Amino acid sequence: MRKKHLAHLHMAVVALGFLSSLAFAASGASAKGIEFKDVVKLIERHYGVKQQGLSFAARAGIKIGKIVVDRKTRYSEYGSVKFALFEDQDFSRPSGGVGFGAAMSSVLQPEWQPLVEVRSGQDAEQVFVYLKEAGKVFKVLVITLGERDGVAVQVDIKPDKLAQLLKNPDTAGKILTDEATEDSSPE
Amino acid sequence: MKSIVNAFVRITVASLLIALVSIASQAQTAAAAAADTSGKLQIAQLDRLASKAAEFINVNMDERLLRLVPSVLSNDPEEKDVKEVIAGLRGIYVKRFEFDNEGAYGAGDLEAIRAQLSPPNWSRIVEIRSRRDGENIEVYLLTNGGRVDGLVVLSSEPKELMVINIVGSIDLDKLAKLRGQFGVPEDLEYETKPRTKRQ
Repeated sequence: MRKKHLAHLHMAVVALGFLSSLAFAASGASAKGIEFKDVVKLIERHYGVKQQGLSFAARAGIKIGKIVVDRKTRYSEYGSVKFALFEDQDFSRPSGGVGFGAAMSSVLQPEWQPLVEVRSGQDAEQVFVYLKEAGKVFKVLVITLGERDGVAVQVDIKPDKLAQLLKNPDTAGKILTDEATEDSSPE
Repeated sequence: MKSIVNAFVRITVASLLIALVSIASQAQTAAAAAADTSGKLQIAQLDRLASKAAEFINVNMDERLLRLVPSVLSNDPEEKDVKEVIAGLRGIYVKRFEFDNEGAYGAGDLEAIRAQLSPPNWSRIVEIRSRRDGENIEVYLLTNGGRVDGLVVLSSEPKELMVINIVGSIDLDKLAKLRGQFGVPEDLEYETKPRTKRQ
């Protein structure tokens, strides 16, 4: 009989604990904020892929090596650039039954606002653009995923630059990714 | 001791249920009210169709973002008109799906949208149904005292589905200026004069 009482008490404590943890998780997440590394981890977890570090990219001779060199140039336009590259990996097998867009939204919202999502079946490319106001600038997060490659970029842009991009939101992600990652050093 | 523990368990479970029911009820009420008066539709439920689509475009521009736009538009006649149209808007939301096969979306998907567009707040001013190619276009307006406060274009074809929701004070004569910008498709064909046509 005593065991039964204890079991009931245990159930009640678990239920209360569950409610408390929900409240704590909600307040904790909003206080800490979603960071770029959280987004990278989400991509890695969702697709079972791994981002290449800067040193790997530099050794492989791909563009990202130059981005580090040209960072000062880009800093003049973008207050900050964060970049994660996924090369030659399999994005065709997402884990679980949830699409990446839904998985992203559940993590990023409401802190980040979705601006545009473009999915093209022909080249199996997905582009997601999210925004967050941060004082005098906007933080823009662009995630572009293909079948074998992916790139995540987070940049700070001024309102006038963002306004230009808003005129054609469906190409905003590509433009930002290209501009933030292109080699801007003289030929 | 037993009765105290049982009461504690019951109160906890009951509190949990009441909280869940209350949250669900508030969400439903808020959604219905929002669709009726603000002009912004609840269309997120369509996102589940994205996984079936060959092409999918989803644009969300709220008032805060639209307020940024006039600063980068010039005063030439074309951009001045766009500036004027944008000035009254509180949001532009577009979802456009293209499917490889027919039957990817159902009548229920359309009904969920139409259910939010009921009179007296909303009125359907254009309905074009073509049996030949299965193309249907409906245009709805939200009006308050003669002023247009919202517009919805619902376009469906066997392999295509598109919802455009423009929220805010709208000058219908200048609305076409938004074509090809701000997520509004370039090839969008719609009229804003009352019309019902079956081909």
